[in-house]
Parts: sequence; structure tokens; C-alpha cells
Amino acid sequence: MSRQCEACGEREARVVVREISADGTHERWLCDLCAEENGVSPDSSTQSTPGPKAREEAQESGPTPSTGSLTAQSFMRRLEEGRAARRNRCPACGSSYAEIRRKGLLGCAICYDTFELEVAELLRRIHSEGRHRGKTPAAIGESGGGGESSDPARVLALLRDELEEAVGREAFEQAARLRDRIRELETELKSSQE
Amino acid sequence: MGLDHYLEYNAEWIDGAGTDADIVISTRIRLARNFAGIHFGEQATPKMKGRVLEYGEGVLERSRHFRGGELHRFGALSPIERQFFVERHMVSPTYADAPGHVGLIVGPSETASAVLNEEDHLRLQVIRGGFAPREAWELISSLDDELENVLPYSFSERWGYLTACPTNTGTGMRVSALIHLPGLVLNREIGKVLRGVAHVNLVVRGFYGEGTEVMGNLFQISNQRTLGVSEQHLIEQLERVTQHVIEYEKRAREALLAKGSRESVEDRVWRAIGELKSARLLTSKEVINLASVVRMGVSLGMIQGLNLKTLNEIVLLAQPAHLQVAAGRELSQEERDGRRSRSVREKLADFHL
Repeated sequence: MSRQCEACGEREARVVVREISADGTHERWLCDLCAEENGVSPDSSTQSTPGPKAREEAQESGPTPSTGSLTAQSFMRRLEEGRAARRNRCPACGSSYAEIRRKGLLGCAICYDTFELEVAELLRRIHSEGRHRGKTPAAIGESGGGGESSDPARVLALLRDELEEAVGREAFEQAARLRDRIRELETELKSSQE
Repeated sequence: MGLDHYLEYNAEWIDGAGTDADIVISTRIRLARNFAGIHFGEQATPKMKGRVLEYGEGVLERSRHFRGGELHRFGALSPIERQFFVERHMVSPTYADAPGHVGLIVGPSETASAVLNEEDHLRLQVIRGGFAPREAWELISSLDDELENVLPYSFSERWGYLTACPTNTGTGMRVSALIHLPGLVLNREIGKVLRGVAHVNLVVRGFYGEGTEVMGNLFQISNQRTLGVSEQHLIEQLERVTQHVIEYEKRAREALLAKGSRESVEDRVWRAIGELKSARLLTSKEVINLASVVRMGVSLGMIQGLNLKTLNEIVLLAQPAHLQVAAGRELSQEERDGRRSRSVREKLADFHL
């Protein structure tokens, strides 16, 4: 009998992720998709290994590199890669820039900040101009303004709203992305204020 | 169907009053706006779209421009009813086919309207008769001021109003004039004139906007750029260019009155009105094209006792969804052509050949 993925509870577990910390070793059984979501991309060694066999080997092998399991080092590396991949998606709506290009539409206001460089280039190509010279909402005009679009405090407020909304909808993957981005911004904001 | 009352009283622009109304049918401005914290278009969850629709209800209560208006939820309308609003230039054809959570707010006298949950959360529109970009801007800008207090917009000081499509980022504004150019079509200068328009960053489109066919010698001139230019600048630019086009058209029409061409133009005009008054089956394209020739005849003073309002009504009521809303049921192509000719004859009953 095959073992179910601990993350989605649906698909067959094909990858064992072993985390090693001071508290000892902790194992998680994941399917290919959830493994990828968690920053572990299935490589040739895991792909060629069917579920039951992976379990066997995982039980027999220690924290050394072996088929179907990962060393702490390579796990951390892949976790980093996973984070980088996630950064290439808008933390608020989940759009990637490739999707935005394909549809010709941005997913939300936060996309403008997430893909700032690409969007700036795109806008200059379309309008041959890169700065708004028109009307400003009264509420913003009064507050003085003069700052950049990505006024971190405003973006933070928006992201926190989004986070609340995502948690309410139980969209936890999205919530995790949002939390990461909020932390990043908070750090930036702190260091810029110091 | 619950839209009959729109057939009873007329939208302001239909009156045929206003500056240069014999050449410019109407002037429109639309502003694209989005609300902070809600994803754009397809990325928005049903709950978010629901919030935008709730917002629409609040607008009806709180906006003094929209008070007394109506909110139509497209999900609850039939395809014919949705098409009805496309024909009245309030919704783009694309979104009439995919109703989903789309909502339409129609203000009194149809001068101001707003579409919810299209590509952007809010698309405000003001339509005026004749050539009136400044008046249209004043109205829509005060409406916009009023609505930004109901829900805060997504706005960035660097990029202005943030819209789903980067071609609208900045002012989110499209200002356009629906302009009737039979003189320039007849003297074949139209291509040259329109190329000149395109040269200054304005675009020319068909009757129902982007990607639609040119019918009845009607063209839509509008701005293309939205970022890095102020609303004032866009309005002045459209004004300047449209004034030139109006001048060219007037000159072309005067030339038609000259000896040598007058008789053939008169012949066309009288044949057109004769056909409208006597045909028993008319397609909507035929009506638009015939009304265009008659309109030119009225403007040249060849036809007396017929006003632009009647011609505007004839064209609008001849549209397929308008006929079906008036009939209160779906009609086949043949039924429509018959009813259309009857509706045209009724409108022209007081005009004698």
C-alpha cells in the first residue's frame, strides 16, 4: 500500500524530506507537487524512485545522501531556490510575470511593486513616458506626497489587508507568500529608518 | 423585460443639440479605477467581486450624480438585455458576453454611468451630445472626486491610477469623439485625414470601439497614451485635432454643394430618405448607412423639417437588442428586419417626401 502525502493528503508520497535539528530528525512524506511547493524540486533520483521503495530506503538510510531523501544541506539549498521561485510571483495575487505578459493584464495593484523593473520598462514602451502627470486623489494630494509608488508603508498596509483576506479564505500558500513579503518590507523599512 | 423605460425617455446625447452636433454625434470620457486591496479582473475572488458590487449599491445611495439611477447586475440579465447596453455605448462588447459579476450603474438621463467588475473594478463614463470634451471632463472629474471618498482607489504617485491593463495606467482616461465624416469619405480624403490623426498619438476606431467595423461614415477618435500626460493635455489634444477634422469635413461638404456635384449628392440624399420611408425590410447596417446619408442632407440644408434627434433615435432603435427589448421577446432575423422598417417609418411619419 502506498503512503499518502502529508501535505495534501491526496496524492501518493514519493519524496521524504528529513529535517535535522537540535530536537532530532523529523521526517515528512510528500508527493512530487507538494515537495516542489516546499522548495524541493523532484530531481532524477527521486523521480525514478517509486513510493514504496522510497519509504524503504528512507528508513534504512541515515542522514547521508541517498535516493529519495535529502541531506540537510541540499534541502536548505532547495528551500532557498523555492523561496526565490516564490519571489517571482506576486505575493498578493500569485501572478507570475510570464502570466502577466501572456494575458497583457496585471493581477493586482501589488504586481506593480513586485515586478517594478519589468513594469517600468513596459510602461515606458507603451507610453514613452514613465511618470504620472495627471490627477491625484484628494486624499493623497493632502498628505503631501512626492514619494515613490512603492511607498513601503502604504504597500505594507495593503499587504496586511491581503494577508487577512487570504487567511480568512484559508489560502495558506498565498498567506505564506504574503507573510514573507511583509517581513522583507518590514526589514527594509526598519533599515531605511535607522 | 425590465428595460422598456429606457426606450420611453431619451439619453441626453440623443437630442442632437450641442456644439457641432451635425458632425460630432457625442463626446465620451471614461476613467478606469481600481480599489485598494482587491485583485484586478480575473484574479479577483468571487467574494472580492461581490464586495465591488456591494460598493455599487453604496454609490447609488451616496453619490448625488447617481442618485435616482439604477444598478443592473449582468448575471441576472438576458443576453439581449446585456446587448441592449452595448448598443447604448455603456458596456464593451467583450463583457456583455461574459456577465459573471459585472454590474452597470446608470445615472439619470444616462449622462453618467459606471461599469463594475469589468477588466477594472470601476469604469466611470460620461457621454455628452455634440463636441463637449471640457464639459464631459468637469462632470466626470467631480463624479470621480465624489466616489474616491466611498472607497479608496489604487493609486501610485509614480504611475498614477493603477489599472489591470498597462495601456490605461496613469490617468486611466479615454476621451473620445464619435464623429460623422461622409464628406471626407465621398471626396476620398478620409484616409489622409485619419493618418494625420494617428500621427499625433490619437487612434481612430469603429462604431462600437476597439476592433469594430466602421459603419455609416462614423469614426471614433480617442487618445492612446495615458501615462505622462495630464487629463487637461489629453482633452486639449483631442480638441485641437478634432477641430481640424471638423474643418476638413465642413470644407468637403461645402465642395459637395458646388455646381457639378450638387445634383448627384441630392440624388443620393433623396434616394436614402425614400428608401427609409418605403422599405419593408431593413437590416441595421442598412439603417445606419442610409441615416448617415440623410444626416448629411439635413446638415447641408437639402432636407428641411427633419431633425438630428429623429435620426439619432432611428439609428439607436434599429439596433437588434433595442428591437427585441421593445418587442418584449426574442425575434428572428426576418422578424427584426420587418419590425425595424416599421419603427423607422413611424419615426418618419411626420416627414413628407
